[in-house]
Formats: sequence, structure tokens, C-alpha cells
Amino acid sequence: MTIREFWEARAEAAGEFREVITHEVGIETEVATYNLLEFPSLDGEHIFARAILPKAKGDHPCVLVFHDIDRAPRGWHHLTRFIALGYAVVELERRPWVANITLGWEAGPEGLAMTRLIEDALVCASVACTLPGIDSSRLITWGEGLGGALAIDVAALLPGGVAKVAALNPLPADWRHAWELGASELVYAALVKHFRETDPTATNADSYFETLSYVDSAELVQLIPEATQFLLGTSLMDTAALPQTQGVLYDHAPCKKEFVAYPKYAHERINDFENKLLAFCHF
Amino acid sequence: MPISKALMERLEACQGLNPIPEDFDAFWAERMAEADEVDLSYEITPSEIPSFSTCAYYDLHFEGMKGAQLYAKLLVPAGSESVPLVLQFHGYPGATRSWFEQSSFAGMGCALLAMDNPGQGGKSEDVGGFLGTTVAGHLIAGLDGGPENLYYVRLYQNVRILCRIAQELPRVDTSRIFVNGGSQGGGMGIACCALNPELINRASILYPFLSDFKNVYELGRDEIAYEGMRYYSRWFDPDGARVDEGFAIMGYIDTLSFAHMVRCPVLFGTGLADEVCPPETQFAVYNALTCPKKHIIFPDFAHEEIQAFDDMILSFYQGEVDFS
Repeated sequence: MTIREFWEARAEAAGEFREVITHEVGIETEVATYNLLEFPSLDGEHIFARAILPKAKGDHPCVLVFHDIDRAPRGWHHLTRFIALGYAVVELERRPWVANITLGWEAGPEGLAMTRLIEDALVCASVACTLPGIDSSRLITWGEGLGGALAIDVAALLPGGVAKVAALNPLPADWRHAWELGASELVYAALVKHFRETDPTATNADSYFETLSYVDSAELVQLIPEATQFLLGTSLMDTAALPQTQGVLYDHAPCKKEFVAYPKYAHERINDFENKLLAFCHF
Repeated sequence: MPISKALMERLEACQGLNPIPEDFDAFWAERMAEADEVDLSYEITPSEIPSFSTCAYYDLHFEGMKGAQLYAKLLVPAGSESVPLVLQFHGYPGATRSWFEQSSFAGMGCALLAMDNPGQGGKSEDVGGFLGTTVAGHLIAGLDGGPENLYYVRLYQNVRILCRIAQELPRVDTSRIFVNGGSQGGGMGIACCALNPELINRASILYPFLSDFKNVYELGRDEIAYEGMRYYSRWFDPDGARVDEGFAIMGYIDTLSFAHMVRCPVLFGTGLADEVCPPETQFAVYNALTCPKKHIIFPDFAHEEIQAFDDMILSFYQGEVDFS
């Protein structure tokens, strides 16, 4: 089964109707409403997303935010910045997990923990499109680190695509290359764990990485529609999301794209990139 | 850091060690009068960020004390005829954070002014002239020239000028001017409230820097952001002969000294694991506040972004303050 075939069925299922429970969070401003959304993912697990919707009438662009592996979901105050632009914002709260995204690889790509995360992201995107006042033709996906990879994956897989995707130091990408380069931090810690505890002689490396290719952003990025705009920021001192892997990811993107490199930054937030992101959000 | 009854009792009893000058209020009345004598001169131009239909992004250049050319980011949301305005102060050292980050306040329906502190990494000009060492640490810049010559005295005069500009901005509701800041920004925020009491409606203050200098020194925490104190001590007062003289002068810029002058409600946050601004010093400032106040404690947070505190600002800036 090709990667495209593997994901087409899942993306279609993610778009099917599902009941969304809306929880009040006790925050409201003159400008926007704040709610926590609860809905089932493809495996039936209930997942949550933070949603802030502008009160102004009309259809609004929507930013889908995905957070990094080593941080909690962004706070409500943080997310409120998108309301300033006149945009809605929806942020997926990653499901409880053991932070091992290669977990379940023995069962093939359908068994991978990372597959669940991408499915969650697709379901979240589909739910966002059904919210009142959302213009689904102006979706933006955005994330840092693991969130950046999920932003790319959704841009590649969501039926109908997204208008723009932005990522800063996305990972995982280009799994095998990352392993060969010695990547061992954040999501790549799972690689080290695997080759120390499960396959110390790397005898099954080919099948392992073949399975992981189904959730490799460097593969999925090739499915991003040509019309999508892609902004990628890379810190050249990032020891977690290795710049070489991001270069491959960027080269593979078949869409309109812009690459910004930061020579003296690591896996961290970057003021300059935040400003570029803000300008990039314009329609 | 575990929170315990004994720890909290000790912190809640902190009164601060740094002396508050007897003429503190009069000293600052004179400094504010000096700042008020400066003719306002400023220019507002479109920023590098193209404006959205819902929010405009501007550069504000203005003339500060001693003719310095100063800079602030200005964000103005569209919509309402009048909008609240947030005065945002940044941490040490550095500059105002990205337009992206500042947009959160515009997303709440507030305009925002965020000034770059001179000589700290932003666009504001530092015209210098501070007597004494300038090798390390703005908090001791000007220490050899008496209190009038301190870096932070001039900075707070520049904040005063910024406050005067804020009142001239179109659509700003001057009855709803808020202050927000963490670390150096928190110390500046307290000072801004104290020195502009008629203007500031409420303030959200997170782990204020520049607080209770003498206690910082005695705790041995004169490092990281406070390291200028240790440099000064080692190089210019090695035997400590002038230590009392130094803290007497620094009392004019100590956040602890400003606390009694604050009138507006203050939402105050402290991470008990703060390794930069000792919790003892923060509690001393909080305890000295006589205004309506609320202290939020975060046991396992250090000197870092505390999203839970930021989220509280969303409600704090809406409607009437309710600290019940």
C-alpha cells in the first residue's frame, strides 16, 4: 500500500460527521468566545481542542495550532493573538501518551502511535471546518517541533488541503537520515531506545524505517497540493530537529515555499520567525 | 519547589531589607516634573508588519529624556470607538518581543504600547552619560552620580513621557490603561503604576526584578540579572565600605520603594522556584503594596513563561476587578 493510499482512507474517515461536545472554559471577551471542544478520534478515543472564535460576523480564516512534544498546549492568552488578525484558532490538545511515537511499529503503520497523532490532527482539522463562522478555504496550519510536523502532515492529507502551512524546526522528518546523523533528542529518543533495547544490531532497520516512512513528514510533504503556501523556519543549531532533515523536507515540498534559516538559534522560539509568521498569515 | 506551610509563613512575613529613602516621594515628584517639561515629539508610521483589517501595526518613535530617540511598538485593534490600552514592559536584558506575541492583547480588544528599553537590545537609543561603571548591569549604571543620574531614573522618566503620548493616541480610553510586565517588566510596571497613579487602571505583574536589592545581596543572589551588583561590589567596593551608601541610592529605584505609591489593583504572580528573582524579594514587594491586590503562587515554576498567569489576565482585563 502506498503512503497516499494508506492515508486517503483515514483522511476521509476523519472528515465524517462526529458529535462535538462544547465545554465552557470561563473566559469570554468582547471580541471572542473561548471553548474546549471534545470529540472522538478515529479509534474512538475522546480528544480535546481549544477553540477561540471571533464574535464578529462573517466567515473567518482559521489557524490550526499543534504544540511541540516537550510543552503543554499553548495557553488561551497565547492563542488570543490570532483573534487580533480576525482569525479563529483551534489548537489540538495532544492525547495522553508515552511520548514514544514509534510505539506499535511491529503492527505496521496502522499500529504506530504517530499514526494516532496524525489521525487526531486530521479529525481536529475536520471539526474546525464545521465550526460556525469558519472559512474552510482559508485554513492555516502552524506548529513548532512535533507540532510543525503535524501542521505539515495535515496540509498534505486533509481533503481539500489548506491554504497555508507554517512550521518551525519540525520533527520527526526524514527518520532514517536523522538516525544516521545521530539524532537522539525529543521524538528521536525513541529511535535510540529502539536500537538499544529492541534491535541492538539493527537487523530489522529496513522494515522499521519502512514502517516509519508512513508517518515521515519528509514523505508526506510531497503530498501537499501545489497551491498551498509553505513557510519553513530552521534553526541551524537545533540539536533535536537536525537542520539536514529539514532541508530534505523543504526540498521535497512541491508547493509554493519559503525557507528561513537562523544560524545561531537552537530548538527555541524566534522573534524574527514569529514576525515572518504574522506577515505570512495575511490573505 | 514543594510548597509548605513553613515556607509560606516565612515568605508572607517578608518585609524587605533595602532602605526606602525618606524623601522618596518628593524625589520622584521632581523627576516626573522634569519629564513633564519635555515637549512631546513623536511619529507614528506603519510597521514592517502589514496591517490586518482587524488590527494595525505601527512603529512609534519619540523623543525621550536628554533628546534620546526612543522606540515602541504600537498595536491598535479595529472596531470599537474606544479601546483599552496596555503598556507592556519587557524583561532584562532584551527588547519588546515579536509583533506576533504582542498581538494577544490586540486579540483581547486592547491597543498596546511596548517600549524598547535603551541600550538593552532593541531600537531605542541609549545616550549614556551615566557616572561610574557601565561595564555590566544597567541596575548599577549611574550609581556614582547620585540617584538623579541612575539609568532606571531616566528610564522611568521616559516611561512618563510614553504615558503622556498614550493619552494623546486616538481611540484610547484613558480610563482603561493597563500595565503588564514580567521580571524587569514587572518592576517597571510597579514603578509605572506608582508614578502615574491617575492613569493606570490595573496591572498584571509577574516576578518583578529590581526588587529589594539589599536582600538580593545578602542572599548571595546577586547573579544572573542581578550580577551587576556583584561586579560593582567586587571591583569598586571590595571591602564593602560603601555598601550602605550604595543601597541607599539604589533605594530610589527599588521596586520595593515604589510599592506604597501604587493605587490600582494588581494581579501579582510568583514562581516559587524562581532562580533569578528570589521569591523573598517578590513577597516583600507584594506585602508592601497597599492597593487592591491578589497574589498567585506557582509552586513548580521558575523564572519562565507561566501560561496559567497569562490566562488569568484575560479575565483580569475585562470589566470590574473582582479579587474576592
